[in-house]
Amino acid sequence: MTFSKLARKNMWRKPLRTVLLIICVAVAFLIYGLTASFVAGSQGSSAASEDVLGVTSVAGQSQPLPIAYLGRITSQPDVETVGYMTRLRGFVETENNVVSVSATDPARLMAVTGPQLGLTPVLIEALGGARDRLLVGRALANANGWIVGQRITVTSFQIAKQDGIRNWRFEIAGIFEGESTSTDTYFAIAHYDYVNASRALAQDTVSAFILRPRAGVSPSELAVQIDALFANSATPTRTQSEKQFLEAFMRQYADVGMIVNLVTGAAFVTLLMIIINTMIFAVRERRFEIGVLKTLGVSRRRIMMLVLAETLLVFIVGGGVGLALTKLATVLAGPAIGLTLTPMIIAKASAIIFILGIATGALPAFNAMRTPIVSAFRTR
Amino acid sequence: MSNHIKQTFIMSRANLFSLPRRLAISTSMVLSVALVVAVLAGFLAMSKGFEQALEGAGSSDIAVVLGGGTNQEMGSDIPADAIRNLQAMSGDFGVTRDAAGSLIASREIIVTIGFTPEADTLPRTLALRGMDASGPLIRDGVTLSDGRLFRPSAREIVVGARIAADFPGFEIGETVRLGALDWTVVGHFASNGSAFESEIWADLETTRAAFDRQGQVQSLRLRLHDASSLSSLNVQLQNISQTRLLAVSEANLYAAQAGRTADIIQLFGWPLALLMAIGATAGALNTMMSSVADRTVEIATLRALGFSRLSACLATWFEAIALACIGAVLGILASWLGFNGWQASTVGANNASIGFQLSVTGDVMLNAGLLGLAIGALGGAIPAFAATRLPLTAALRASG
Repeated sequence: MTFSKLARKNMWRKPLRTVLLIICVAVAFLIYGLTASFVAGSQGSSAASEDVLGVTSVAGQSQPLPIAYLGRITSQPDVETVGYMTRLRGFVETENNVVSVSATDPARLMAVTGPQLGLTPVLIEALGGARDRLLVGRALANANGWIVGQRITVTSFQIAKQDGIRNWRFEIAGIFEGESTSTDTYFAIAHYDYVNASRALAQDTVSAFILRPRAGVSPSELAVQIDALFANSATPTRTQSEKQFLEAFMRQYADVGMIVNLVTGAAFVTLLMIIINTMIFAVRERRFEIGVLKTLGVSRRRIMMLVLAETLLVFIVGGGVGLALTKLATVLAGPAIGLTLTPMIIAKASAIIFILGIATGALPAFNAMRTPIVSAFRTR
Repeated sequence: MSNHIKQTFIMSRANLFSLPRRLAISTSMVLSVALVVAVLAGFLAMSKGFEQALEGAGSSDIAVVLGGGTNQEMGSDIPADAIRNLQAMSGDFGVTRDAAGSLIASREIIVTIGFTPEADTLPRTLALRGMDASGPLIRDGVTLSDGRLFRPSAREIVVGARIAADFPGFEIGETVRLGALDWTVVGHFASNGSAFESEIWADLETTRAAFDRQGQVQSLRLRLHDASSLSSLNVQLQNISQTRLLAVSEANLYAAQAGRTADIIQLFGWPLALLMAIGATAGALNTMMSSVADRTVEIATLRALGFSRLSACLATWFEAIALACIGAVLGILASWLGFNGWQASTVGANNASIGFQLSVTGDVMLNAGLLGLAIGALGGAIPAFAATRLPLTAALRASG
């Protein structure tokens, strides 16, 4: 009988127990996978770029910046391209259907984040046809069932037209797909000129400037330079990368990272306790067999390996099932919840599977190795 | 029947006395149940605490008028002529009037502002509410804990207790930069931990001027005679403006906001806790199967002495439930000690941060505890059944 066959036979000695252990491991890694995917998806950190910088008012995102800042930002030698946008938040049809429209200069946006958003020259040209045209993100279009050519009315929460009405009509000119599935496409892109010309208040202001630094320039240093430009003006700025911004934004909702760590921590502690104890029991149960193996001349190291292999197998099968279920859940959940199972998460989970598999097997394996033959036989 | 009960009792007692032999694995079951219970209790306490913060904010004797077909303050807009018309109206439509006969009303706007507490910390979004001088009076349960109220046309703010406690720099007499201008803190107010405490209050005109919101009114607060006057107010509102106006009771306004967020928290908490419970049930099954294996000889001996299958089954099941009970109690105790009163904050309906404290109430404990018991009851069932199926002769021969 070969070594691996012996390990396998050992594993299925009590099938129910092994299956239960595998379920334990699978559940723990399912929880880990889901929470990690949620964090990755909600922060869009896989898609959020560290190279693109956003400039907003230090008094908060909802406070306007004068568009006159554009010239001064553009003239910075380390800046490659600059775009700007005004955020028009509102709802379509029912109040719960919140839509965010970024009113921007399409050509400038294309230059700064075109590839990330999946903008193509064809889309930009379609948008250019008339002032009230709109490009809609794939996720937003799917959620509402919108098609190209449809007319929609966005009722803004804040921005009113000069006649006091807050309904903005748009015609959908195209749908952009985003660079990958983890790109946030739950928003729409409109013309800045259209919104700016008709709004009652805060004309010639923007919500944010977005810019791309020249190659080789450190984004964090450039951010400091730009903030220094406006430090003593009436509206100082805060410049940060898209990633920093999203992290800060999410942290306001709840310290998601902390909750995730607590929950997965609790799950893993539970699991480890159960498995170590069960394995100690399982090894104690087969002391007699171990005694036989030792009498037959099997080395102590091989006996230790045997028990280790068994726990590791439980972890690999269970962890694999857990990750497969996570993948299934991310596919089923749909883009609205935004679960993203990145290769990084899988790699981390695999590492944890191996480390835990060996760590939990260590104590029972050590016990098995230390069992003296005489006492092993005395049990019977 | 009484024989069964007696036998079960004896076997259960023998069972519990033999627990120290299986101390490690039994402890792991207790702790795993405790952890599941604590995680669920944590999420439920969060959802409960948020609800309490918002429910405490609303009174059903106060009406909030919103305009433009919305039922939230964000996105509401009341035209100036509508307010003039309403104030010009004589007759009783359910709203209290002051001695001079004019309506007790407060026009209000909310401005969300980013605030960086200290250099290099994350910015937080705060809600600054501009209101008429009557505003603080049209709120039940609000007390000025320190200082005085803002004066009209002065850049002065009164700060809620939560903000004053959470952020440095809001002491009375200090100046704070909100938006592009500096404001002086002149008072602190408290409202029993409700959502109001996460707001900053200032004079309406000053706020409008500082944030370029000239002429805007988002909501109009009115004090009603009693809760039933709301419908007569709504009838009156139909006729005064072309803009659609709607009066909702303050209590409903905040309860609706609470519902959404509290639901989301529960939507995360329950699946996570149930998943963990599945894992813990598998663990409980293993623990109890080990227990049956460990007691093989005892069970077989007692059965040979004439003890019934039922008593063997129940005794094992009781052991599982007893362990789960200890776990549930531990978990509830830990969550109560650890989470109750924990200060948390999230983003509320106006996109500004709302502070609340986790609250481990009776029904939170009950729900979490029942889940813990269910783990024991389910995890103990199959091993309990297995205990009845022990082949006696083989079991007795196994060891000696």
